[in-house]
Amino acid sequence: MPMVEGYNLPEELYYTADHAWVKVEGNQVRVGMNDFAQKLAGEITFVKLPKAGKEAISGKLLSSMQSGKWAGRLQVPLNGKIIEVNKELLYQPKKINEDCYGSGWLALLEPSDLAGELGQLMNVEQAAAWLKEEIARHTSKG
Amino acid sequence: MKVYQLGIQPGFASMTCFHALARLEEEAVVVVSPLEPYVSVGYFQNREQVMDEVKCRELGLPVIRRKVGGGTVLLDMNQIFYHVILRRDNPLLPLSVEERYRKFSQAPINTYRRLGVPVRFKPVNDILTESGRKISGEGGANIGHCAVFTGSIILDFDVETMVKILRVPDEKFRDKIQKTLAGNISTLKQELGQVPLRAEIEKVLIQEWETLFGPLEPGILTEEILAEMAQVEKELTSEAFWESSPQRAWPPLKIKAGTYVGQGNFKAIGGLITVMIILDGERLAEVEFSGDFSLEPKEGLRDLNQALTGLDIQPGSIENALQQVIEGKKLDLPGVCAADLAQAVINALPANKE
Repeated sequence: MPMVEGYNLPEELYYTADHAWVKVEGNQVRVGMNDFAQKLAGEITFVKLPKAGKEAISGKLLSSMQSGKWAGRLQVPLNGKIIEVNKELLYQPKKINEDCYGSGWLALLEPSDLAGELGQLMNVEQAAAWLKEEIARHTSKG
Repeated sequence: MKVYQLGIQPGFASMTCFHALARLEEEAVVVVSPLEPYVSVGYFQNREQVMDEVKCRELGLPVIRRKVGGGTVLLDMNQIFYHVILRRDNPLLPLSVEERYRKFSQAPINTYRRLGVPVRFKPVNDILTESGRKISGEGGANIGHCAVFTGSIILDFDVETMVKILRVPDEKFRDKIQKTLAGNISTLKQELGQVPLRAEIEKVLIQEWETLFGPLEPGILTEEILAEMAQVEKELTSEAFWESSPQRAWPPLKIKAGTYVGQGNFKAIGGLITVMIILDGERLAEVEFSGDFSLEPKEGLRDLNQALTGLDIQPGSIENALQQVIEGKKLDLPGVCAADLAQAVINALPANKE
């Protein structure tokens, strides 16, 4: 699994500037929080999930999670419908920290226009470049 | 960057102002106290599960849910709240949550020290006195394109009313929470014997924020901000916003980092097992079993409690300790086994410690 500045970014996934990862599974996509975001969040103690069956609007709230009383939020990456959510996270939110690309997935979506919207997401090369720039900007002046 | 030194504000303004500024993407520091007390429920909490609404109404306490994490709290004039709003792409905002707390806690820490109270930062987000009492209540949230850091300088705190408004399984639990809170938190009044002048506290606090951010231009609430605050209040008190609360409430009551008061239940064949615990780090500081299961001899309840008191919660340790005491003391629990009792304790633990 490729590492960028110490953070895992699997090659086969797509990414958003909001730190979500997107995995294409046929005509559906599985969504989660990437390694960079989960590490920076620290121990996640609570996750709020959307309801399955609900419409998903790109840019709107998909999930929120708490770490150290900080409410972090992840946006919907693609327009569509929420098919399933990972209810295990309600009782074991730390799965996001332990296995963010596997058992720590958040939601399964059925995009309304996968072919059309997938191009708006970053592939791993674009995500790596963007992430390096983000880290450099905060490190130099923060 | 501006500082909104709002003094004492009526209604929910001390809550809605930072939400509004975040939505308007206006970077600022806010310093404010509420005129009348009210209750604020954390974003990840379920109102019905954590708060006694009837008691709040009886006490005349309005209630609002916020977009910031953390627990249910009583806000009143005896707390000076500080809020920092920064755009998420601002390089001044540390990337990690822990670093945000560490960096932005420096202003209140220095304020307390300058007022004569030695304090220190304890990760993730606590400010502690020399005796280890918590003298802060900090939280944060990503709201729109901004990050908001919130906290308060605690002049004094009404523990009794705070505990009255919490939903608890029974009065024994409430009593336990009150004693634990009183023993683990502190205030300026407690540390100094008296409260410094509000104006002095705010002056020092703002100076410390300027040490971090540079000179802050005094801000006033414009029509645009006030309109946004009104909109925020409408949303945060709406039924739709309450109904979007999680169904499973954020469990056990956190007193300070690493200290929780929790209650767990487990329905065994022999009856309902209830247990109240105080968890201190990884150690069960106090354990109290109760329920409608049978136990002979009755004194065995004390033995069960003592078997777990002081125990580190490692996998299997709880059940093993209970099994040993059941066998050693020849306790008779029809339809209840060590695993059942252990499960009740596990159900009382915060998530991630199961």
